[in-house]
Amino acid sequence: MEKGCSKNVESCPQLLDLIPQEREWHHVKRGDGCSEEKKLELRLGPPGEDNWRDESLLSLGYFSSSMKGNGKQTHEFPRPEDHRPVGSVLSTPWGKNHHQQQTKTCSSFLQFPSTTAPPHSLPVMAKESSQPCCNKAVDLQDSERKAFKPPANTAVPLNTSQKRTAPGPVVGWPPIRSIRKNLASNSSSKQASDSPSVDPPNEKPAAEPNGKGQFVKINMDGVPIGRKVDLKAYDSYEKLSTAVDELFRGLLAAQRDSNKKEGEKAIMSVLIGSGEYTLVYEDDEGDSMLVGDVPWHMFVSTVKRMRALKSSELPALGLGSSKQGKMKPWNTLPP
Amino acid sequence: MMNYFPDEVLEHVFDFITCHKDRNSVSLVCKSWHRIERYSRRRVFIGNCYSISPERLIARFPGVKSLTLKGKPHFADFNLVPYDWGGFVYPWIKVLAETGIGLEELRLKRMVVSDESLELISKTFVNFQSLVLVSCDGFSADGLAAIAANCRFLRELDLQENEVDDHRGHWLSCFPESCTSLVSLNFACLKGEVNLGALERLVSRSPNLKSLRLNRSVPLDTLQKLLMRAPQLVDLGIGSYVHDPSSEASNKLKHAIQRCKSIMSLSGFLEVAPRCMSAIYPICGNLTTLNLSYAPGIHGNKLTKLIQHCRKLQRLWILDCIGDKGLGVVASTCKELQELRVFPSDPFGAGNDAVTEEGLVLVSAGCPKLNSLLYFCQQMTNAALITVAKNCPNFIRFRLCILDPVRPDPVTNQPLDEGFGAIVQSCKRLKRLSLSGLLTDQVFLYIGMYAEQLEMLSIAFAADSDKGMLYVLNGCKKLRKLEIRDCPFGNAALLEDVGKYETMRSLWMSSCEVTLGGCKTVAEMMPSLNVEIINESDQTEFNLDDGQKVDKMYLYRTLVGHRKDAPESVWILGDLTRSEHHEPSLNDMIQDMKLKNVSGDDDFIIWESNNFKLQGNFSVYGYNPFIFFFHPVVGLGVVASSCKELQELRVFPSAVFGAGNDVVTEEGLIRR
Repeated sequence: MEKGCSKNVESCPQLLDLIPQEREWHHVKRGDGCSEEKKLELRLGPPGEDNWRDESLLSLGYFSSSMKGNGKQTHEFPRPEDHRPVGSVLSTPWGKNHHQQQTKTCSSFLQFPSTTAPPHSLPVMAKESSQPCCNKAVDLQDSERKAFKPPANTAVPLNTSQKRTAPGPVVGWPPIRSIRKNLASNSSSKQASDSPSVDPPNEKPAAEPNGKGQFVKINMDGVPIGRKVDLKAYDSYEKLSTAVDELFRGLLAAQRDSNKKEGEKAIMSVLIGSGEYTLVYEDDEGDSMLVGDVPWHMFVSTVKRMRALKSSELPALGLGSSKQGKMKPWNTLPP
Repeated sequence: MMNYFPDEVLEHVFDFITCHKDRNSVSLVCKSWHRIERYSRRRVFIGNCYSISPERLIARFPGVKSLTLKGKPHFADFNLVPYDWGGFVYPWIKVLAETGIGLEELRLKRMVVSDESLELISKTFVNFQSLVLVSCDGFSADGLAAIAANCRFLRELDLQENEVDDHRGHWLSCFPESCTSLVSLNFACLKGEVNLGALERLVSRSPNLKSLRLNRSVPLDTLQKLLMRAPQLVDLGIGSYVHDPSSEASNKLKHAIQRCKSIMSLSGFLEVAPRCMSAIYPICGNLTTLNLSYAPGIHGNKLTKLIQHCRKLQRLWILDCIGDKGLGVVASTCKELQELRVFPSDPFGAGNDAVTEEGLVLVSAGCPKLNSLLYFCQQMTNAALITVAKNCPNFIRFRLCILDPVRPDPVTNQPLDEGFGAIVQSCKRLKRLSLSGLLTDQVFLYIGMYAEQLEMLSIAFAADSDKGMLYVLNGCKKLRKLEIRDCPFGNAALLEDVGKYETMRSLWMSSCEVTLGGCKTVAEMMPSLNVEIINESDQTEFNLDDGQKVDKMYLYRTLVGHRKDAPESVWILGDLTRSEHHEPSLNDMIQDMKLKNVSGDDDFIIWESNNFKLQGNFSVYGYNPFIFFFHPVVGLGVVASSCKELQELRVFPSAVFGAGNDVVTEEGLIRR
């Protein structure tokens, strides 16, 4: 039986014994497998409290000063202890809420989206805490945790400039570029049409998962932050235009007034209908089109993104270049 | 004891030194080498565009022809950085244009590139040849049109994963008939349509075209025509690949593809019908690079059949729908594989087709040359990582992303500390590491102890305490970039060794425990760092209490003080009146010198050697086997007269010196 991870460990799980017999781990056999394995064993002290004072074990200089007396532990990272069912809704860490949490709480994930994955049991921390290889005593945290619902339904990227209390996907996780995020959903329509016909099927507008809402981006002139609007929620241009009004009213108000009075006083209550703004959209051929020309269902099937332009600036569309360093209208938001 | 070689000879010798780190070292040897090197430097790499200004760049390297600039922090790729954070290239172009620099190549990554910049480039730099934009934004097809129209000697236009507003897609038509110099054209990331006729004509008149990557809008029949006209292609990116295998169009395509015997790199398939993949089998045997990571339409049997033809693959980028079995096929087929990237095809979904630790183990066993990995998976076990570490000790880049960010080993419910520990212990050349899964402070202890070559580390949702970060900062001597999100690292860790940050390019910390007060302290203690706080929430809520936790902090070393172009959401801490340092001449600075640890490997501080600030050890070493005479005595003389605080001096001989060559003579030592 091989030595454990270190002489101090009573019951550190044997790393090599973790390999179940029935699986063939294809590992390249070298000459003397035994000594190889020994070489790779990490001969370090376990993270038990007392061992940190063993300076001969570790040559890291700062230890002598900061680790005596149990070290400065400003923070004990909470272990996910209780089970919470997936889908429980908690407030997000963003904005105000994040800073108001007690210091010991950091984001911890109980069960990240994998609704149909086999139910792996959540880490049973009680067991872990008795094993020196793992962490120190667990501080059970009753305070707020965040559980993140799988964003299959919403798929609205969390806009950190707005306060949101609904849960959403973790911003920036998994760490892939936006371009890669919607590949599968885009492709499902392709696979379905993998037929002799060469005609490409209608591309999905706004690259959102099928069947759950059709969200398209909409930007308004003069407002750097865009919104997303679910076209499936409307069935006519009037309703859409009202919705767009409401979406931007708040933002416009915040921009125009330093003190918060009612937005309605500062701007006209109906932006689109009154003519101050004009809605245009980009269709699946990349062309800019005026909203309202085609029947609603045709619009919905070809729209990719939308924009509310100041009507007074319409004639200037397409001419001249943007200011130095400023983004072009379509690029005001990261994808 | 003078330098026996005229400058031109040294310059010629320096021409053989192309790696910028080596050139940095060369420039530190002595005054005359510094001078010769700087006038002869043609390629400059600037890893952080805010670390230096264009004026100082030109002052030091007036002969620069090729410039690489990087802007936004890496996490901008994942939407963690506001869109208007910065990284504008226009100020650079403007200064380069005004000072008459003959720029020929420009490579930009994560920068904001306006159409004005592109127009200015195209109209100012007569000999401009190469534009490579990676993950940039801010420009439209108009800017591309300007490049196409005005750069008469354009060889390379390479657009990778940029956000481009190209709804008016006439830029391709702007290449004049006289433009015949194209070697590389990559517009795969553009979403709009291009003028197909113009594209065909352009390819026809570009006999040197070696690399062509099309976007989605280019249909099959055009592809076929392009291939007929450019059978010399080495790198092909297919746009749309949908056809009926039994059709005439498909036959023509097969014929065209077969003529392209030089293709070694294949990518794209942005739209694909998998039944048609057999048409490309004839060229698979030559492929060294295959990127199917944008083609979720190819999976299952079709994918594995394709891979079975690719015996020479060295680099493979695929989606996780390949599955563990598919990775087994990779393992048994691609014995030359060096780089593997497996991307998630459905990052938020159930991931039934996804890969697990089994696939990785199979590849590690079958592909002994594997040295670079990016692997998105559902789960990982310690045992698997240990096995991988044993099979592949040559990893230079190891990036593992378990989609559930704090998932433990599903078999043992342990954190993945031991597994990653095995990786860093085994892979002695590891330069880049990204961690995920459930991780405690222990893994960072291992990293600090074993990852001696580590230059970049990405951490998310890990660790239990400040210790984690301290292990890394203390242990990883070559660390250049550290990016951390959602970890419990606070001020104690941040402030332990602020001098360390000057040896690094940058540090990113978001959703950690550092407070405004902590960040301010760093800024006050280290005037050579810009400490930026990014606060995207409503500003009235973020009070200025020092105890307030900081959502995002990004700090980086710089020689030019606070930048002036930060948006409102970005606060730069520290003395706001600090202005750009006046660049001292080498003479002034040597008079002024204090000695600090400067080793020849440190890329930035040496590069901008005007900021010597050395204390303690001063290491000088000759470098290049072409150099036969090395007279550090000259340098030592200077050192001796100025550095009264010198405590220790080490002079290393270069490899070529034998007993007969006096590197350091008594004369130098006596003077000291």
